[in-house]
Amino acid sequence: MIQLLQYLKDYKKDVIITPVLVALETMGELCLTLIIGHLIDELSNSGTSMNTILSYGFALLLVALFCLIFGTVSGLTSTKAAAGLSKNLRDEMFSCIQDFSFTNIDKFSTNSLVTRMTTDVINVQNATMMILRVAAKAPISIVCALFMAFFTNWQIGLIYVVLIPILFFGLTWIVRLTHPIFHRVFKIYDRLNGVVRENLHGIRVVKGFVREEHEIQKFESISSEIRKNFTKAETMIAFNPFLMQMGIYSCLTLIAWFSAKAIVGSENGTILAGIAMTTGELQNFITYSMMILMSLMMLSMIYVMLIMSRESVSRIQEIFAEKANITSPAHAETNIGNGEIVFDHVGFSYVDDPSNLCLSDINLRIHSGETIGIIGGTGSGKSSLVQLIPRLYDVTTGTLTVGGKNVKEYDLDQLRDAVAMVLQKNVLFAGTIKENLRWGNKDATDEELVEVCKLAQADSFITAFPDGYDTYIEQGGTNVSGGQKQRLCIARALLKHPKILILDDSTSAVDTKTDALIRKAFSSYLPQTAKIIIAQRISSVEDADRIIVMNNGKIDAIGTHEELLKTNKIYQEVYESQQKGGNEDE
Amino acid sequence: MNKSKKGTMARLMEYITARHKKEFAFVVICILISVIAAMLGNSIMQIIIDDYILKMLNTKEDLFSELLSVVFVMAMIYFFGALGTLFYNRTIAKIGQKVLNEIRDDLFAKMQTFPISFFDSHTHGDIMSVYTNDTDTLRQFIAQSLPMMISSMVTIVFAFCFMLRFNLILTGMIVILSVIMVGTARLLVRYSGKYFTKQQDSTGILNGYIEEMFGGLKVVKVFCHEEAAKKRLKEINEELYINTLHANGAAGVLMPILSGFGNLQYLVVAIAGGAMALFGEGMLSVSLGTLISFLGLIRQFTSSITQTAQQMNSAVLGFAGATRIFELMDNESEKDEGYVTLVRAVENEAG
Repeated sequence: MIQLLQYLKDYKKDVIITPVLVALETMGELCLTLIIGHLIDELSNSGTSMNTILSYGFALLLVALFCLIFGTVSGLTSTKAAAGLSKNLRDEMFSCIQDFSFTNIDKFSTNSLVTRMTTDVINVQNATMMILRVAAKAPISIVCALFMAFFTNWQIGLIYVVLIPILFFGLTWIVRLTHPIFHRVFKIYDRLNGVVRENLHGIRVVKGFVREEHEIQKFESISSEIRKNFTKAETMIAFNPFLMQMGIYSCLTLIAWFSAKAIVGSENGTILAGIAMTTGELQNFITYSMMILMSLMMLSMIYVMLIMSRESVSRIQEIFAEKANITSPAHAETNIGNGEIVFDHVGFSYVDDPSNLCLSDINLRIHSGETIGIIGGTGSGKSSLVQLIPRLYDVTTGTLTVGGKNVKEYDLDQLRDAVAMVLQKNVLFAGTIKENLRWGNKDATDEELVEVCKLAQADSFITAFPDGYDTYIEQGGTNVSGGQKQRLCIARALLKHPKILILDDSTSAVDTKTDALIRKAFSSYLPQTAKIIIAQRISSVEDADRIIVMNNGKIDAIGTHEELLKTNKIYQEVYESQQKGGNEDE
Repeated sequence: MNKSKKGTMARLMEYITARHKKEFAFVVICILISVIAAMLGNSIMQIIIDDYILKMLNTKEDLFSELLSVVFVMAMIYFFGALGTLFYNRTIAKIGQKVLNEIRDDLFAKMQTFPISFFDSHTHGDIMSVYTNDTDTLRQFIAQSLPMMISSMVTIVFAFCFMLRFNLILTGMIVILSVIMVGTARLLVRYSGKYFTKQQDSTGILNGYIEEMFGGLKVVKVFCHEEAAKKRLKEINEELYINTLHANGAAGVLMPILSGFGNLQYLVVAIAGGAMALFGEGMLSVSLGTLISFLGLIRQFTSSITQTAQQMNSAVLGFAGATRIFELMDNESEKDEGYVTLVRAVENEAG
């Protein structure tokens, strides 16, 4: 908890002032109790005048007013501190995660990142609010009540000395027992999140294959697991109020008996003589018992809060502790000369382990303006290869240069600005088509948008939408077809006027004719740009200047369509199968 | 579709009471035992003071053996009261978890029947937020607020009956002050409730945005969109902060304001009662003993009202959650024939 305090920033003063206000309020409340005690004594006294009552009333009013003011202000400051802390935490966490590289991200899962930023932060917020409000109150109440109890009658006060430790240990013991269960529930919640998330993402598949029943079963088993664990924890926590009541009631019973002995005894001089006590004091003892036990209850609640939030705090800190491992160098080169790319003995491993490479010994020179096709089976390393260029991942061995300089020397934003990449997994974001396209260039004019869309063969279907370029795209672009999505993503990339353009299997859902039109547009629109096209279809790459055949993380062959058709076995096989299948429109 | 016309409360209660009738009845009985035990214990304490301690002081009789049995009875009553507390807390926790389990499962099963268009028009994070954040507020409401509210309500009724028995005029004053107090509390709770609902909504929006940005992080990075994403998150976050501030702020000042009212009630009765005790005649007179007992009852009465009001906040929060859950559940399912068409359409595409 303490470690997160640095994120309070502007809200520090609220954190400091709240306990002070709460302390003042608590003192006020204690004063009220004392005044009321005296008032009752005065009332029991038949000789009381109206003036006395009025002056007590005045004192009560004054103190009550103070309590009201301190209480209200502390209620506001504690809220501000807690809400402010959670706001700052969310901002910082999101910032951190945005700067993570994918090797960083892979250590967590997206589900768990979402849970950390929402549920965990809310837990910390609630705990902060609670602790600020009661942390000062409970100890002050306990100390004052104990002090006054002993001051009134120390022998009877001893009852508390026995009871407080018993209760305290009882309460903390329950917390200790339940904590591991809550710990488990958090993990199961992550899994529940995961199932819902998968289901939402794959809802078309689920429906297409009539897998609803299976999904429901999967969900229900996790759901009931949550129930079992929670029930176990909560039924244990139910012993908390039981223990508290047993405490209060034992106190009251013992006080009733011993006070009776003390009061009557002092009068008779026989039993328990020497510990004189009045009925008024007995009443006070009852009040003190309540105060002490309420405070103990509050302390145990804080303890629960601390334990529960400890989990969340450490989950949040894991994110802050994770250092983004792909960053711009200190004196970064901002000017990317041209689109020449050189792979020099490049090896790459997703786990950064040179003995476990998924790309090895890649030597390749791609010139500005050249069009390169890449062909290869799944897992042959095509996507891994191109992801190294904009530094989505860093090479494990060897060097990669762009425009004559090592990619690690460039400013990251400048490098990625110069490299436009259309990913295999196309993603559009919630927003209009225009907004989505402007990811490529936020200052692009409407005319520029139309231009790139025409090049990407997207203009015709966009204008067919009732809202045209203002059509709203749902999250994940689920309301446009696969082919439309791919063309929008290509248009978005073109808007960057990149030095290097990478298409990772991004025309798979587009028919061959349109595919060809798009490629033609590239060469006329971006003549100086190095173009790398990964494809499954030979037809998508056959007119490239050079074609690279990838196999098992290695370059199997490089050449033109004709050369490869003569010399390369893999290329021949792929070509044969696609000719026979005749699946032009796969 | 009648269901959607019913209020959130009615539907929630259907889940809680109709499906778990016996258990819920057991909870109510245990709460009654627990409250009555506390009240009885209190009166026994009064009896011990008046009939034993004061009597022994006045008459010098030795009533300790009798007193011992009275104290024993008191201990037994308290013990059963505590057992009642234990059992209602345990049972309601079990009911709460069952209800949540049922609601979650119903929701998920229902969601599978929604048409694709539904999934296109809702962000995934927002839907996921219903499964976690909203059900969690509901859990707190069922397991914590509901039993506390029932027990406070019972206490209020009992305390009120006792007060009526003691003195009509003083009770009248308390009623008037309580109406003002409850009115103020309602205003505050309504205010915070409005913002709690907004808070849940902006939590959903935030969740949706985070989900989307993390899911598409590769694209974000390829287009150097990190800073823009951070900026947008800041905006959403700021809105959530403002809503939280209003909601929790109003909830935070509720307690001190209510205890202020509690003090005011005490003050008014002490002064008015004192005046009546000293100068009152006929209807207006009151004995000092009655006044002291009455003042004790006011404490219980107002603290129960305060507790109820305090729980109202979490009730409002739970309601906001339940409303979002039921809203989601109430989306139209795909038509039955649509299911068949879908299968046929797949066949056509393949063939």
